[in-house]
Amino acid sequence: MLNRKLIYMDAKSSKFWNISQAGAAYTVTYGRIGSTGQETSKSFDTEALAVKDAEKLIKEKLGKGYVDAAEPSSEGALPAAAFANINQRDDISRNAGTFVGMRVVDYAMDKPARSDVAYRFRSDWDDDLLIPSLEHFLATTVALDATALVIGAWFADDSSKSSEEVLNLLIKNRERLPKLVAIFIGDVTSEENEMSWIYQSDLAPLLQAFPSLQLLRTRGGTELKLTPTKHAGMRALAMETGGMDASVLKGVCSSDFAQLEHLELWLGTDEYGANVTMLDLQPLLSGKLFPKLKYLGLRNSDMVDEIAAAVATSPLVQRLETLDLSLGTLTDIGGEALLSLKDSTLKKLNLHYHFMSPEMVKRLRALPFAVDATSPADIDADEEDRFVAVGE
Amino acid sequence: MDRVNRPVRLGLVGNLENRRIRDFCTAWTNLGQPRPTLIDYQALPSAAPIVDVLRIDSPGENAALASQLIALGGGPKDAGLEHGEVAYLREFHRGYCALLRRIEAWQLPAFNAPSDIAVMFDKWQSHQRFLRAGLSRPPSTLAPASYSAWQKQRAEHGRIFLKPLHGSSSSGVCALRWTPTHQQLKSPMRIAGTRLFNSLRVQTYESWEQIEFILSRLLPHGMIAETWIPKLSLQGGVVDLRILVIAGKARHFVLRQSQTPMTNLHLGNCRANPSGLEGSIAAASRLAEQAAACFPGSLYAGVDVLLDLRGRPYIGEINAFGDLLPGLIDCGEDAYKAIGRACLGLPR
Repeated sequence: MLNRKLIYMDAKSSKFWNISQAGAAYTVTYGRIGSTGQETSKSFDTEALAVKDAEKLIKEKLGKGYVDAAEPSSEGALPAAAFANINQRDDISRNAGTFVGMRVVDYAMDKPARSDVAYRFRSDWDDDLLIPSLEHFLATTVALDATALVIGAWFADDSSKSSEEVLNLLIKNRERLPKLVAIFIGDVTSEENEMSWIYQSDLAPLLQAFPSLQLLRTRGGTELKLTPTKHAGMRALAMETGGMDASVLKGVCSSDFAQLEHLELWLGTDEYGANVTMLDLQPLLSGKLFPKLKYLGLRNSDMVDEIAAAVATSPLVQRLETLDLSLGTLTDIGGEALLSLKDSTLKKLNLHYHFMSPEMVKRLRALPFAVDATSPADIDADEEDRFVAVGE
Repeated sequence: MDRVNRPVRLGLVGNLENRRIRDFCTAWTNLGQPRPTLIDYQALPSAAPIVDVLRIDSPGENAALASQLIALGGGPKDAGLEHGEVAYLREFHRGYCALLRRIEAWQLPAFNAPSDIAVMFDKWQSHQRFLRAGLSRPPSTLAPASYSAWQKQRAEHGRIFLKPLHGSSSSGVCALRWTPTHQQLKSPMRIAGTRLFNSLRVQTYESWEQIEFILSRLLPHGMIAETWIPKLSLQGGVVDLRILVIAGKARHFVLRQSQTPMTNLHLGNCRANPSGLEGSIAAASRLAEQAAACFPGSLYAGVDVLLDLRGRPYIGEINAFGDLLPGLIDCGEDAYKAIGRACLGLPR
């Protein structure tokens, strides 16, 4: 008897894939999360052959980024697979299709609200309806059951408006959102506004107002701030920027997130305001912070070679399951440093979009854990022509 | 229908070396029609050629004709433009309109009336025609003809497409956005010395100095400033539609996808899968048909339609020569065959 339940989630889809083998046959059920899905069965001459084939399929799925679906736990804990959002470089250029496993739908005031989707609130080019539509939603009874919200562009044509007004509205209405566990602030594509032009604000008041929050994702680096704060429930924090200010990293490192499992920081480039140094990363890499951390993402960075060298020898890496250095300007120099991770406890190394040679990729793929080194950029590029995935 | 049964003598006006001419000849003779009479833009006869109907094709991609048109339009005798150089757009257009008037004087029927082609080649006139018909267009203004005048009137923040009134394809097109703290211009324009060239890659310029360099050279040609409506994105980038309207019906279409604000296919962009967008495409097709109907003297036109984040359609522009869509099939016909059949009055 072999039973395995896998799920996959990213910004464009959320899928399940279950396999159940008994005797000389197995049945696979798969489909969109929330649907009953489709079922296929296959029979074999012997039980051993059925097991062998089932194991092969499971391995394939795991290679594609599927993870084990956690058993439904108490009080609606999000599965860890829900923390990731942007996996491929291409994911950045479109609005979120799903969020924490739910389909993202633009909220419409003239339609009855539903509880099986994640609503997105945003202003369009010719109206500024984010605030009124969010107020409208907050007055519905569906809001009382909402677990996830997506905030899109909060500016109609004035992109220098910060997210503060939206955050304040959410904070003021926290009692209308008692079940909120996940929020994405800044589902904005580069067509709408460049990542480095998006004006954020201090996230600490939002965290204070929502003690049940498990996942916070933000996009945009200008005026992004995190006043050091304590949050007992935060399990995932992701900040996407084109250039991160060191004060943001300091705010994260000075915060008390005892349950934090997933920390994803897009550091960006100095052209777009990044001024994080290796010294600023030391508190994080020392391993003394965030005792539950399993995933560390230092993404979209132009100093990822140095980061790779520092992370590979850091105390922190010894207790990580996933190290994500994707979307940056990683070259063979950083790749070489990562080879020393062969004896680590890592289960996954994400290097998607990089500037490494095919030889280095081959050596990294021989490491005893899953290595994603897809989407190589132009390795012949001179140093000044190597760009992170999201610059401009 | 009586025209089906007899040969139709077609006159093809164009740059004879161009694939458009070659491919249309093939499509036409494949319909059992006699070989068309070829009429070179550079040697237009003063008397009407002995043909039943004209097809007027693109004047583009020919340096010698460009020089002639610029001179005819009041520019220098030998402009000596280098390949891809963006200059004398107004003169080129004026010269081309003069040629169209000569063709008009032949008083022959044409697939697309010369007067329609002249208006389609003027983005401001086309825009006003669409507005009068009540069609959905991004809000637009006529841009001032100098950078200093533009700078004086610009708001504190904005996002616009600036397009040469008389440009073709992506030539001279700029996507510009700015706030008090940031500014950015994206365009396939490449700066070389003191001149501007079309390139096959969209470049990004992020200083006001570079933006001024580019706009101070483009604005005097005459430009339309259109609100840059954020386009719908699918996996892999933003999309818009090129829809070929033939005899009043939206026919062949391409969903064009780009990582940049410019979706033109020659800029390395790709064709995207339209599944899931059926509703928007149906609305876009109706709009394209209405846009083409603003040009009653035209049998066909290529209409670019953009979709906003909610999938609502807007006319981007209309192209008199927007029928070069090789390999694209609708109802078993490629674009040229469909146009040929429509001309002959054959049913779809």
